[in-house]
Amino acid sequence: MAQTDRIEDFTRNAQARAEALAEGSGPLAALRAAGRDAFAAAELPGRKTESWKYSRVGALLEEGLLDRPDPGADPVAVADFPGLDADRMLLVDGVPRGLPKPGEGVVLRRLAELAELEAADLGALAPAQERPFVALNAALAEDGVLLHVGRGVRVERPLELVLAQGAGTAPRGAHPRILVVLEPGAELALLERQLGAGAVFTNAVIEVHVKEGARLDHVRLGLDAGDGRWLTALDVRVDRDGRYGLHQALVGSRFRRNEIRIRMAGAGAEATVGAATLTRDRTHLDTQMSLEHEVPHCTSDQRFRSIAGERSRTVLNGRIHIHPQAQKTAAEFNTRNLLLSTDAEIDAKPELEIYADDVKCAHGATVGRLDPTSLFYLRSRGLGETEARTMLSFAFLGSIVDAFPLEAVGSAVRAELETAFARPAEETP
Amino acid sequence: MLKIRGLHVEVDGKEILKGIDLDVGAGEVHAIMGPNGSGKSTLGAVLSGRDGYEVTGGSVEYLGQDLLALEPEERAREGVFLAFQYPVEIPGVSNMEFLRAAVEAVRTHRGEPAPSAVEFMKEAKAACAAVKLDPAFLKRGVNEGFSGGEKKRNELMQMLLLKPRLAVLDETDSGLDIDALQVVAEGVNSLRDPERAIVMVTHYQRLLSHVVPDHVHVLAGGRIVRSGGRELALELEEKGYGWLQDDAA
Amino acid sequence: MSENAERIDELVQRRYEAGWVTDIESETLPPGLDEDTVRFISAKKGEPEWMTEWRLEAFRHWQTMDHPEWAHVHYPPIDFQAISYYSAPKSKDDAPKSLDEVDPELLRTYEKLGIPLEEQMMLAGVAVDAVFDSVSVVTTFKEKLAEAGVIFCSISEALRNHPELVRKYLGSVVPYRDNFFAGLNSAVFSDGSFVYIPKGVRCPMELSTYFRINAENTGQFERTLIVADEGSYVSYLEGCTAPQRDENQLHAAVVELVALKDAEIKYSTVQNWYPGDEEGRGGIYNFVTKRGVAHENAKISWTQVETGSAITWKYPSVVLRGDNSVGEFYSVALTRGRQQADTGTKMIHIGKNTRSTIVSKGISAVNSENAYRGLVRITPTAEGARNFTQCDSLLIGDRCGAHTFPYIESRNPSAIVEHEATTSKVSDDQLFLCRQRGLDPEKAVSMIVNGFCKEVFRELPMEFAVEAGKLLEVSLEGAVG
Repeated sequence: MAQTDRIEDFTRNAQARAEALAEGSGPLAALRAAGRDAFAAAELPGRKTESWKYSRVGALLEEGLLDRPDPGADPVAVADFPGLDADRMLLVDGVPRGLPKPGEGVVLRRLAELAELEAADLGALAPAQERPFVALNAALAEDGVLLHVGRGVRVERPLELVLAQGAGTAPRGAHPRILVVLEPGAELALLERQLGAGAVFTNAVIEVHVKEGARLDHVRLGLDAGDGRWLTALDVRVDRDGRYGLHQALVGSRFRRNEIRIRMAGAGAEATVGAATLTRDRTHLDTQMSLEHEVPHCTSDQRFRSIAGERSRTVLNGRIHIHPQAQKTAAEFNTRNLLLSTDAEIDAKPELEIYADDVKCAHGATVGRLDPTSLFYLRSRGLGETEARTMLSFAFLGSIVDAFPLEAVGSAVRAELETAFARPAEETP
Repeated sequence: MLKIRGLHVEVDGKEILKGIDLDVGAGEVHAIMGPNGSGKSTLGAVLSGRDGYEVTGGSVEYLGQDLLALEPEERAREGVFLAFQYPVEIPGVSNMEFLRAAVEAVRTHRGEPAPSAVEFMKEAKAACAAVKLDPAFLKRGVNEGFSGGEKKRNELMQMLLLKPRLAVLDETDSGLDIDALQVVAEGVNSLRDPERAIVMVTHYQRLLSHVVPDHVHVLAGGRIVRSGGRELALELEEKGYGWLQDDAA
Repeated sequence: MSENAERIDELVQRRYEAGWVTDIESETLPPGLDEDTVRFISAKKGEPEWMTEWRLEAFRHWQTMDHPEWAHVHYPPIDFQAISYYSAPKSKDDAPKSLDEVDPELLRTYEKLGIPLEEQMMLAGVAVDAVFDSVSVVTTFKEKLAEAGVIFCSISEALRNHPELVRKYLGSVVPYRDNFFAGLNSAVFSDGSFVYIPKGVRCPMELSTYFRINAENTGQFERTLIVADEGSYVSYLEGCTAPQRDENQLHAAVVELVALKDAEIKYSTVQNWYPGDEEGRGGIYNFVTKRGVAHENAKISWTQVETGSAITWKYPSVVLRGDNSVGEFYSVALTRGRQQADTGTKMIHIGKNTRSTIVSKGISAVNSENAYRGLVRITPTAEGARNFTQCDSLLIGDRCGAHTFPYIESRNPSAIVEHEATTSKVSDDQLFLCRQRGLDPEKAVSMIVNGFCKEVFRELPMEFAVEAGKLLEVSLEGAVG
């Protein structure tokens, strides 16, 4: 089918599905209404859409994204992390299944049951305008989770947020929606896991509000390769003196696109981002990162490390945007990439967009190979070439993973990445 | 030459100098000593016209004119030279072109002819030799990648070239080893002249054994608490600053 | 109705007649663009038929293209039918009679740049009958070049005297399909320079558009083609530090460089066209396509100092086709007032062990917008390729913008690409040090900015570098508040 026909078809079907959900009242219904309008106004990404330059979503649209998943489907297997003591929120295809009973000061609610009062941030943190898939998520959101941490509450046990796909083979589409709000002075460690590599096309939107002086450590794992199709938007707002740390480990899958926008909205806010990614075989991983410095005296520091092998593609667009008036900003972005194969591709696009003069901003990007001197050094000490390569490549990703705040998770992820890295390439026809 | 009366200075709304009176005559060498945070560096900054220092009271008269009314470059052209405690780096601008522009500006102002390229080179090399700075430094960016000692000698070299009437040395001796200290001292001594005044701001007395001051002032808590001859410096060396704190309070 | 208007009217009428009338005597076309315009230009220049056809193909293709919108610049839509695409050398009647009639602001700038009076007249377009001393310069110049076998003439002349060379290389680097403005240029280019350096010849002097006879009125769609045959070398200077009087608002030039095996081309530009006033009125739109192809062991080096134009949209690029070829891009772009610049380069690595270096210095002042946009592409065949990019931005004032948009696409695991970018401002401490040594603030800023640009100025031919320094100084005037 031609691209234009495909887009027309998809748009028509999506609007029809959204209309079918028009009934109802409450915050979620309001979100859906706004999503419907935004989707109708937005244009699906085409060949000339700059932010989709390296990702073609085209044919994937025909694979069930608009079909509602089976509500009774069993989730894919959810393994525990040895040594991690956490409360788990499980969502299967976007629908909460059993929310834990959290400690004092922490509220967990299904979005479908949300009261007006609790929903101030819903849809406000992740605006749907000009983002068709965020709009689609809003338009089709039937449920989701609100996680609210009260003023000054320091949550001791990490919370695990599992976005699992339902098992099954029929192509379907899920639209999980999560809202996380930390009131002033609150502290939390959140472990988000994207699980599944099957038939469900997951289009998730996660909104995070870190209020004054609050602190959120957000560990984010997407370690299932294979046929999974994942499209996620993460929108974070950090208020005055708030701290937000994002720690990601992702592998490529059939399609994985990760849009992240962090807004520094109050003076003294800090954001750190560390991301390790690995793509192999024919997988695809596209990260679109935007750091918005809207006010003075904020700091951001981002480090990305990526390895691409076989026929895979790694894309990273890392934008730092310093708004007028955001003086005394210190912002740094750094990406280092290892390309392991002539059939693989790495596309890196660090961007600086700066409208204030008294700032310290820098970005750096390298794409390269393993340092031959180090390689030789290891071999001269008796390591085989493959072993030496693995060790060096992995040291590269390890520096990110070792800095993860939840130690038990860090070491588990390290092992998992190591296995993913060391396994032989899939046979490609 | 320099007449300071009742000088009050604030930085970020906090009063640092609380009424300074000081007379410096031509040909004299003054040392301003004092503990950390006493306001020593503020004095140099105010005299040279640095931003961020608000004069809230008093006056500074230099060669009969109101120094505080002049822009920094006008003060420089009138012969006020500040040797910085922490000289800033200016990447890409060579020491040579920088100095040539400075010398030209200052001498033109004085009605002297600007030196030709050859003359300037000669003078610059001589100044380098006097402070034992490799002339290769002339070709490098201003203070770019210089060590602490090299930066200080570079400041002094500039002073020799610009031949100020009033030289203020802000902690020029700090961080120098004994050999470098001697080099700096020789440089300063070579500038002693009946027409020129030198004000040395320092924490320690050791520079003063090499450059003997005519007057020593002790600054504490934003005021000059003691003035005397060079023996005052020796007394400070012996007793430290502690015994002065009471006076300052 | 004046005589002139009558003529235009007549011409407009004639354009709608069936068939094409080749013997039009008019010297100026009315605004508008269609196939007849293209034919008219080609006929006017007495071009061979293949050339007319090529232009027409370009025109037909251009009509299918969209105006690019991806650059970080904003301007009202351009009405391409409102532009006149051909005007013969300006009649002396329109030109200023003496320097007294020239904009005093322009003269003040010439003064500061130390440009001799005769040159001021030429630049300002004063109608001088006696061509001054440079004629003899030009003559000796021509003799020397002829001796070396170097061809240096206008494209029109080259089409007449060396059609085989032009036909072989024109459009070989920048095909008319390449982009919107290149397409337009291919259809309607008025004139430009042609250079051919024979095998093994080192061009005995720096070639400059400034000295080229016929330099004036190459107009808004200039086309330059430089071919350096095997083992040859040429250094080419484009432009001049003085702001040139120019009545065309839209400029869409194309420059093509071909460096055959072992050849080297060094192309330096100083661009200082009218940037418009402080409110952004007037000013040149400069939409240029510049690209070179470097064959085996060849080297192409672009150096540019851009201070003029209301809008600059240009990306001098190198296709590193041959093994071991080298590409370089050194750029200073200064914007002030309401200027907007989106400039950078593309380095396309195809050959083995190809190397490229990019050094870009952007200075934004007042209300301007300055963006670096660059692409480094490593194709799978580019075994051992290497790129290093350094992009630095300097901001002067808090109402301007400085942006960096590098694209890195790597498809060969043995290649190494490194990119670094920083942003800084002229620091208060640096300014104060300079002032404490007696420099006034403007001099201090221009000195610091010059220092910031040093790595690029170093790449310019000597006199050009000195002029470029002065130019920055003049351009920065009043930018420091």
